[in-house]
Amino acid sequence: MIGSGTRLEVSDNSGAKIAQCITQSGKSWGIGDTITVAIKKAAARSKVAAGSVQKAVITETKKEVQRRDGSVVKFHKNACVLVNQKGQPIGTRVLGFATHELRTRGLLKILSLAARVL
Amino acid sequence: MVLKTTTCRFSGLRIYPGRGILFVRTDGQQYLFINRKTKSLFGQRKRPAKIAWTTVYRKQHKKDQEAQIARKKRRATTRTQARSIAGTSLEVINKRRAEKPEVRKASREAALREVKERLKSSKQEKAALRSADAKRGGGKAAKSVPGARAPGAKSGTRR
Repeated sequence: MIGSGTRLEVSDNSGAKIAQCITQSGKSWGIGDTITVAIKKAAARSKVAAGSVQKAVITETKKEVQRRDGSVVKFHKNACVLVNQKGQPIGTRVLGFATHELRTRGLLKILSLAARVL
Repeated sequence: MVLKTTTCRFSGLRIYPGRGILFVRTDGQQYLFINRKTKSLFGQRKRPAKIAWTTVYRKQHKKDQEAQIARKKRRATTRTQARSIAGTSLEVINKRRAEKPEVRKASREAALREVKERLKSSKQEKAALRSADAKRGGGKAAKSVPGARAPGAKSGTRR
């Protein structure tokens, strides 16, 4: 349940810390969706500058994900991974969790980079 | 069929496939709950040791002790014990138990051989009798032959 204005943590080593969703208002997105974000906070030696507009893939949401086998996965925070226009991750590491929902979207690069997959 | 089950982090109950809510905290800790009730209690920071129906509480207050004792008793009774049976004394049984399989086999074979020899000798005696009857002549002897033969042949195949 990520909508316009939602702030997400950036869980990769691109240098960005906090991103804000700036896609079309009135819609909501979940894990595996690609959204447009504004970088609100970034580290000093960052690949992306604070204030720039980037694409990002949602990896963790506070809203639970219902799976086909009946189980439910839910995170304590909203998080995303920054990607370029082609959908390749900007960072070289994924620090948080990645879920199998990304596999159906063809985001295998993020899955392979992630240390922890649920 | 064996189902792979997991345990609830709060209540300690078994979670079968298709059930459960996985909650991942910011520090990476994973909590698996069986239902919304346990998830809610966890969110309220209740401690499972203070809620009566959880396994932690039941273990602490020794609620399942009777069941454990019963299980132990059942296990004890099923254990087999050597004792004297129907005129055979305990010593004889223990002696037979202690014997090596080779010794037992040898004695068994010796006994079998003896039986076979006995059978053979009895057969020869019978054959001799029969031949004596045949010499005397008459249909009576011919009739009695198959009857006399049958039990002997049967016992032979059985051995």
